[in-house]
Amino acid sequence: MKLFSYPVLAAFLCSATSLTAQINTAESIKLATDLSKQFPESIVYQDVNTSTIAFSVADGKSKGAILNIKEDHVSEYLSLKDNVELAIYETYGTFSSIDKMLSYTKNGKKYVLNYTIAVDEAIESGGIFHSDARYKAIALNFASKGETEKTEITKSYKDYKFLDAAYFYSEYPQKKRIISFEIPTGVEVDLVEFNFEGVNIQKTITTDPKTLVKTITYTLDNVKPHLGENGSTGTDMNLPHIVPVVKSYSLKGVKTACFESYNDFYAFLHKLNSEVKKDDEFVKAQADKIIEGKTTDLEKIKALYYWVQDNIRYIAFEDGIAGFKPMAAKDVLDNKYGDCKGVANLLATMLRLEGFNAKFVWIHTNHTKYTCSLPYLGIFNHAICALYWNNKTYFLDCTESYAAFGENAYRIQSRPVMIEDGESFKIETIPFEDINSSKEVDKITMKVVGDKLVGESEMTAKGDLKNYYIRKYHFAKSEKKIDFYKNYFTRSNSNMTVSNVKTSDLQNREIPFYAKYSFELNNQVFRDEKEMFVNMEFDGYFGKNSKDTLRLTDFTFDMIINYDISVELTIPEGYKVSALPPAFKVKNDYCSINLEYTVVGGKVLYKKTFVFPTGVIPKDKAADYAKIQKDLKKYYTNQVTLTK
Amino acid sequence: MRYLLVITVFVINSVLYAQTPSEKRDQRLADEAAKKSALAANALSEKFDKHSASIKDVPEQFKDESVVILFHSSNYFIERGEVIYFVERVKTRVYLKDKAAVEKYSTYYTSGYGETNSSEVTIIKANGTSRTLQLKDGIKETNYASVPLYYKSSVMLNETYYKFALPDLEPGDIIDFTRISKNPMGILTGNIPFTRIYLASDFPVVKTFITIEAPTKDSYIYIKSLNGAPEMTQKAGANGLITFTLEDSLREKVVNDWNLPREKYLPHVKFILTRYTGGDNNQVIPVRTTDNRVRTKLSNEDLVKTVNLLEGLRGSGSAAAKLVMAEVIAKNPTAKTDVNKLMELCWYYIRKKIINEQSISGYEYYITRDKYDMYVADIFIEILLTKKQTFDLILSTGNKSAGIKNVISPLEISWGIRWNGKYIMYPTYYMQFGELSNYFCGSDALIVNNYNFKLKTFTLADFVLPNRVYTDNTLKEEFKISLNEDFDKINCTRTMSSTNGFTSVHISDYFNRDFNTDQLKYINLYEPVDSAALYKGMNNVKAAELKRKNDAAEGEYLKSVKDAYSELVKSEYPMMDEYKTWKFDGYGLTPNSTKFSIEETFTLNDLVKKAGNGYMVTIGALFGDYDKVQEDFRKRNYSGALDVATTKTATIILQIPEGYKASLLESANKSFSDNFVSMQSSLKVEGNTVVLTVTRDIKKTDFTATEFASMVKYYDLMYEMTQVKIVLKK
Repeated sequence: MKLFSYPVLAAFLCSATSLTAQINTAESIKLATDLSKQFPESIVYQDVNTSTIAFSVADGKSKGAILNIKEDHVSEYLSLKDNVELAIYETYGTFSSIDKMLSYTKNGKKYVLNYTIAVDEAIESGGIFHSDARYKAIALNFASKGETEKTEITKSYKDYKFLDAAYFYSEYPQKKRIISFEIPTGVEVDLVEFNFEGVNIQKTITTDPKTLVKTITYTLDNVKPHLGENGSTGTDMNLPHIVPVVKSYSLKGVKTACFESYNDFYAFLHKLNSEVKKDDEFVKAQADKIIEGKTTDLEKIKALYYWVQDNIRYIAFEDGIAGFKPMAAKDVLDNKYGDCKGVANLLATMLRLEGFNAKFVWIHTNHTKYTCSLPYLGIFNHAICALYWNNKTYFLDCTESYAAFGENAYRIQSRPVMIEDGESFKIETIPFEDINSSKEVDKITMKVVGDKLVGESEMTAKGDLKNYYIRKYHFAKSEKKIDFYKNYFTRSNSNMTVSNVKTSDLQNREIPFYAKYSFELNNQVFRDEKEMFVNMEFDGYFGKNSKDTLRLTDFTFDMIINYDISVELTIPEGYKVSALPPAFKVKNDYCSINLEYTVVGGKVLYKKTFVFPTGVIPKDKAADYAKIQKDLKKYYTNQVTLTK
Repeated sequence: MRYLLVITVFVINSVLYAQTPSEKRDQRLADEAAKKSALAANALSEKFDKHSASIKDVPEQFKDESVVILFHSSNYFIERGEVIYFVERVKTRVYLKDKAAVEKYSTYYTSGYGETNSSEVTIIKANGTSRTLQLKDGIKETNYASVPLYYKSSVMLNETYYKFALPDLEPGDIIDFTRISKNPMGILTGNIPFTRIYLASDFPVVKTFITIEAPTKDSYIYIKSLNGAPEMTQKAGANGLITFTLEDSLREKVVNDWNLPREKYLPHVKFILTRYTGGDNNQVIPVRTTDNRVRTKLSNEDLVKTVNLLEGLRGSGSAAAKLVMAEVIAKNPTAKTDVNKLMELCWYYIRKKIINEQSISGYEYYITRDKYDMYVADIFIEILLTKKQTFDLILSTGNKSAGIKNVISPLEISWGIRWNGKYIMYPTYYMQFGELSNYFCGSDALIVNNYNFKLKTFTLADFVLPNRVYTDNTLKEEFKISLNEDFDKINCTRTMSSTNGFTSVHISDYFNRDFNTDQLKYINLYEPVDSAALYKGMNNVKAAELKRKNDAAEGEYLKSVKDAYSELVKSEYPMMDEYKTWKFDGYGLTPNSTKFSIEETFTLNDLVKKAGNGYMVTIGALFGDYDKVQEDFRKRNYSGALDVATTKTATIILQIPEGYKASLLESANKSFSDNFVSMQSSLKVEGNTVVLTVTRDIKKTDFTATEFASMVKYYDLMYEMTQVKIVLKK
């Protein structure tokens, strides 16, 4: 479970902490002062942050045994500054509820209840039309540094399948983070640990002799704060946490199986899919229309795949079980919208009805520690379609607009997938593609005309980049399409004016994207009586004064980076090269960058390559990469010096 | 047992699926209501939509547009029943050419939920087939701001909206949607929101049709077409009902809404319906004469009644005036007998309250936001009345509106007075006593000379509020720059000072506690804090804690101010390295410091690079973050208005490092001038400095679409100036 907080929120910050007595002490102020020096960006420090997840089995009479799961969170916050206001919130949805949310102010040794009303709101999430996710939030007000407030929050789960993972980090520094699981006999729970390596988490197991309840406690001391990090690979990839998997529970000798094995987990998802209404006749009729006139299998497959990509809008309803159960294929066709599950189901159904061996596939995009052996709903966040054809497995992602058949986006490459196969399933891995499958090649030639650089640029892009360029065009407004690429390339450099743009066929997603255009570059040539200075750099890739030097999670790009750029300047008549910028070279595990100027014949050649082969920069290299970016930014100010 | 179980299950199922008598009745009532609603909708459609049927094709001139409004009908009428409603019915037909259009219209919003939802959507496919959607049970939209304007009601404000994902939408489709909003007219007041309907919007429109039914037997209608909108035609009906109709065709979309005051320049119709049967909230209650109940502006009698609305605020105004005078006089005894001093200090006192969003007195609880400027005007009136002074009353609508002569409701009017040659309109933060804010400079107005509350009839005369010439609104910037030791950063000391209308730009950005102290000092209400006395009488523990808090608060405050100013400068100079110091020489808020003036020091990266054996310095970057003008911005089809006409001078002085000399580019010397904009730059070496100067004048605020080309040229040139470089060589 994740516990979040918001610094300063709105209307409900009217809690009645109207204590007139001073509730901080000299000691607490000193402690807060010292901690503030250690954590200058933090406004509070969590002295204590405990979560207890307790399982119990109740007799539901005619309903049978009921497994109750209750999470109790108790946290103490020490304010590190005066006049701190923050809100603590806890999420819930269809399958959980917040039963208690209280705050207390510490006064001496006592905790005095604050009469604060918790706010209850829906969570609006970009990209999702509607979900059942909600939060409750309670305000904490600290008039002075060194004050302490405590929160008590109880959350209940109505269904074991939706039990959250338990994390150690929060956005505030913590003195001690304790996560306990109380498991009575008769309840079997696996506690699967992630990212514990190198982290000093203490684990103890005790059993109450009377109740026989086993308590497994994890403790981590002195926890640094984790703030949201841009481009993060995700908390499950890097941060220590525990995924509780409920295997079974028993009452009076009668066992109820939950996720005893991964097969049970699959059975649950498969059952949801099986319950999806089928209207094969209707769907087949639509599929027949789409493939009309196609003669070969390949033509038919592509027709269906591309039709779903191009005609179904992405609109996601993730309301309760709808977050896991696909929309019926007919409904997706009727509505012409659906989420990833809906379109995957639609495509798989249409392919099957046309005689192809196509399957529904669950996957987690990009980076995650979870594998297809952990019976936990959080291991998947996406759905695609698998096609077995011509002795090969193809993965078809209908949400990747303009992806060609046979191409896989970076975000699904190397990912293990679970493929629905009737009552059983298959686990396969989407291959990682050659880094040249997603590459941009630019060839630029230019010469000095007056005080400008005038030239031509030719670029070719494959893979994710190709999809990106084509997608941008097709989603542009019609009135902007005529000059779309002209304006696009001009925007990338304020000194540039673009004309005569020619591109590849933008209706054909199966060929690399190609663009050729003429340009004029202002403000990059300076000449006095004897010398001319030319700046041949005009895209400035990855040059940045970055402050992102300390990370808890890895950084990931949206796609593999593989750029090959060559810029050729014709040396003006009467001039010779008197100075060239030095080369810039970096090569390590996560990137290879080469920038080099040479003189070849009557031209200056500026060659640049950027390769980030995995698309990921490890967290322990953040400072290193920030330095590379800074050095690059400085490097880009270099100029070629020509003399008469 | 098993047999029993089957029967039980059967019985239970029967109970679940069969309707009870009350359920059947409810269903019947719901069906009847739905039928009635459908009939009513059909009747309205018959009445208002006859023009729409033929409009299905996109005209040639709009064929490349992503979204085209084929038909837009706004219909207003009164529905009489147990409750009298003022009804707005809007029907819009939209053609979606491409994916961008489909994405834009994919989500539909409507107010009302379930059975109260009176919205209807029909999707017409390219092949001519259509499907009407039953919209019920939408998802509540929690973010009101995200609801597009074209779905929002003009007659019911702040409604709750529900969203729907429109099914089966694809490029080439037409969406036809109809929505109805009903505002229950107060029995006594008939208070209807003032309504404006713009004919031009973000999309081209093939046909607009507006109808307004005014029951003139018991109401007046004020209605006006502006800025080239066609005049409404009138048709008399039974029982005093008059129907106003407007048709507009082939309206181009708004291209470039930068500094476009819509009310002043966009074609539109505005109207308000008022009843005469009772009191008001902010209605003009027309004089009961036998004259025409259809009016295109407020008559003199209407304006007299408008002015008389001041009476209703006298209680609060005079109480507030007494309090303000008492506060001011207590600290400034001479103000008791010096009315000039009194008015001036009261004005600064009230302005300080307004800037800091504090109430002026405790009597403002019942004063609505739209009447606040009237209330403030009355406070000054009450002050002048206690001093037996004469004054003129001024009504204006500001210089971004369609003008005072075109007002149809007191809601549009701003209030002020003129006394002893000084203009006292609603105080904004940068105005000095007696001066007009940029918003009122040059705007037309109405004036009542020597106004007093005993006057029953008077004539409001045409008047124009004084304007300021652009040379009065100045900004002077001086940048003294030098290279650091490593020749990789620029050290910069920037001095910035502004006067009059230009101070508006800076005061709000830089406003801090010292500004308040300066104001308080001027009105002599500043109580310096004696830190020695601050903790007197407290026990040691409490005193120590309070001192700690005060010191910490001071530190936090200074840090937050520095962070704020650092962010401001960084927004102008993304390459800023470190913001070091700031010092104000004037706050521009009081007669003691009429000029806003600040000196700041900071360092900048990325402006120095190697050039052979020397260095190239992009000194032009100090002019700020001017972006290159994009293609979209270059075109415009409506006039615009800037806030203020100005003259700006920026001088960059680069200290040439010892042992170096500078090479300059001739192209940095530029000049351009017309009746709207002028700009001149020069780059030269003066002794051991390089001096780059740019002077630019924006000579007037309002410009036509044609004149906008000058503004584009100006921005092009300024962008070029930011790229100016010099080379330093040994």
